[in-house]
Amino acid sequence: MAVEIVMPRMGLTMEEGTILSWHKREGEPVQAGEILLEIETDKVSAEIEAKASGVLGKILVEPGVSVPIGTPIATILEPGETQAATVTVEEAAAQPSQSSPGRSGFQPAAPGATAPGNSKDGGAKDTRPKASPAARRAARERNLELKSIQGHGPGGRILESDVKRAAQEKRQAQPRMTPVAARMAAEMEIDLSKIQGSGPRGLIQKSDLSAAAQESAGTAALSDQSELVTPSRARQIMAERMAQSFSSAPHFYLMVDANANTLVELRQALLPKVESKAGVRLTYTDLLAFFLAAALREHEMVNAAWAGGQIRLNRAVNLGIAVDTEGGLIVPVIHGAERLSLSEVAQRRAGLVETARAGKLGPDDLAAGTFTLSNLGGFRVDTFNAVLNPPQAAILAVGRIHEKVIPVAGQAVIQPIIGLSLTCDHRVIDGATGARFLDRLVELIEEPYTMFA
Amino acid sequence: MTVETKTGVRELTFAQALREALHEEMQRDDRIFVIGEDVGAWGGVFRVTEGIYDKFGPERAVDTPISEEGFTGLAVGAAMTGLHPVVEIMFGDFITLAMEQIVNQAAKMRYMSGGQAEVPITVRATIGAGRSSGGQHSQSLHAWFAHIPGLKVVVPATPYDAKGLLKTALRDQNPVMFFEDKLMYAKVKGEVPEQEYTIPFGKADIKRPGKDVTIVALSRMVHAALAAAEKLAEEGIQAEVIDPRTLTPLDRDTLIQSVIKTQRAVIVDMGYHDFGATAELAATIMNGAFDYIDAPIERLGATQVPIPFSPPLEMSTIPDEEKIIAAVKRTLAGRGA
Repeated sequence: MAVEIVMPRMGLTMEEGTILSWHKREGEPVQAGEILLEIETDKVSAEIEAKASGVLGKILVEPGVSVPIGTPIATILEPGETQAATVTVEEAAAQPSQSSPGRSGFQPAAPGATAPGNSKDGGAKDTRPKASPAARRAARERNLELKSIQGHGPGGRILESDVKRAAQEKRQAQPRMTPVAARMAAEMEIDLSKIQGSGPRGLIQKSDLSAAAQESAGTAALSDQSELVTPSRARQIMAERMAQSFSSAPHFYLMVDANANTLVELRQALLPKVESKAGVRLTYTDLLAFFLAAALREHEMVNAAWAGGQIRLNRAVNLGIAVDTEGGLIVPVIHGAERLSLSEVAQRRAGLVETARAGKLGPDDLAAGTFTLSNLGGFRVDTFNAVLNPPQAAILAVGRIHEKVIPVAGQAVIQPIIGLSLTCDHRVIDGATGARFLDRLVELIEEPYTMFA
Repeated sequence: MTVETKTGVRELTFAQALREALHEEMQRDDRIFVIGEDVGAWGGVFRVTEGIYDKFGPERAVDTPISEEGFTGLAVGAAMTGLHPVVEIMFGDFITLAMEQIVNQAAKMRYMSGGQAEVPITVRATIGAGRSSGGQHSQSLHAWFAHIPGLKVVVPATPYDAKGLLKTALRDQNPVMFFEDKLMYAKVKGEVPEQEYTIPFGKADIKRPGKDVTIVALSRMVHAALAAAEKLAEEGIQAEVIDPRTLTPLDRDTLIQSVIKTQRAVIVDMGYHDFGATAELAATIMNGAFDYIDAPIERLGATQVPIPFSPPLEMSTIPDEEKIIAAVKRTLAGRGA
């Protein structure tokens, strides 16, 4: 009997995956456990093993194509078996309700139950978004596509209220303009989102469009000297998350220069010990991570998240470490950092960074972070402000350790300084709350022995 | 015994209102007589026919043996020959014995005689569970009769409606099935004006206006629906409660217009859930308001089991305020999220 291969779910938030490559060709023998293909999600890429032995049947999804989880992508046939013995894609797509959790009581007619012979029709039905009749009418009246609307009803059903909300958002997103301007914009195919209206309350007028038309003639020449690049999926996701974070979470920043004298000495003293114990070179990131875990355990409001009107206080300190990789920024998480020794923190950090740079992080390595540490100390950056990593309520940005002349007891003294900037989500953290936390962190950096108090 | 209310209108029980309708109509029309078990000298086990025997004599308050098919058949014959009998089926469950007379005779005669015969008969029968009367005395079988052309089916919920609708039944030249929930006779009180009035069949009553969800309820369930609506209002949910009052003829338009407004419907009846009255009402709404429905229509009816004798088990089989509230919330899931 043929075994169906479907797009696997690689973590709770995964909705679809992209086939990167097939390691086997159609008709090639496959052993269970062999790498069959490679996929990429919004967070990671992963190698998928064959779950059965046999011969790879028809490949249903080509590399570069994204499909939702659960979508059949190929079959493994028994030797000698033909493709006809297995289900076709269309039929498989027409029966999603069998694998999806059923609702009790009322069950709308399952697609595919009506016309199993008419596979094309069944497949088409499956892609129809779930929407109430009222929502369908409302969308029809407003000329909106249901596909573009997020449903909030049971099982994600689109309700009329969802359509109304989408219509309002669309209205708000649409610039106001005079009828002449609207006609000109359509004729000249001008992107209105880039035009600032000069009329009352931003009303776009004829003169604005004339100006824009002249300008676009200028940028047309520029396009010869530039290039449009489609970013990776990971970058697209990050772009969305960062823009959303920056526009929805009210950010504020607390900045301080900490004296790094003790921190430098501490690292020097512990380097050989950690090396012999954990086999890794102790970094300032490790020390900061260790101190952060201690400080976060004492300040639960900073180890928190805004959760749609409520505040989630996290019991564990799951510390995300921003890592620069070839594929871009990625934030693996040291889970339960508050329970780890310094050597263990260093070991975990080193392991995660290595896995991240190899592009082999799993979904669990990236999930459930409660606070993020972003250290640009390796560059000539004294201090910087980070954007919150949603839904976390705070992130610490760390600059390089550099010498500064500072007054100590009336004398100008040269001391190593480390610039810290704590970004807070004001919905969760107040200025004083964040300040108390930062104060404690600085104390740990400057006087680490207070840990024993 | 009557009570004056604040508005100056007196209050009657459900049974008193029905009794008053019978007395007034029997006074007005001497073709009318009541017939059934203990309806005469005893005044009926639920006291609806009280005083008729004394006032109008034994010829117009006829006591019968326990013989539902016999006395119903007698009444159909009497109706065809010029009288207007009011048959009382003490426990509606035993209407099964009179089905032949009602379904094949009373409902058909006008049609099958080409209009030469008419059957002005009113059959009063009880429905309703909740008094621990056991499986053969607790059913609500009104939906059966709404299935048969030629019968009108009345399911009043308040004393006011009961009186006005019974008077209309007693002036109708066709068979009318009049269902009374036995738990309402003494317990449900309401304003009934002393002035003469009747209520036309086929006109639903909006018992409580609202905008968020439509609760369609029949007979005693109207009161459960109103209590549920009151609680829902505390949570900011404005439920509209509609009482169709008659199943045949059915005021489909009022149901449809209400759901076009609220987009959600919960239908509640004491009768059995499967293939019950709620199914026809839901289908009516589905057809008439399809483009306005925002959630699956919820139906509440009696569980598909013989009604248990044990009070806790019995109550679990019938819809109540809590079940209505839960159903309303199911229809509202995700709205405004």
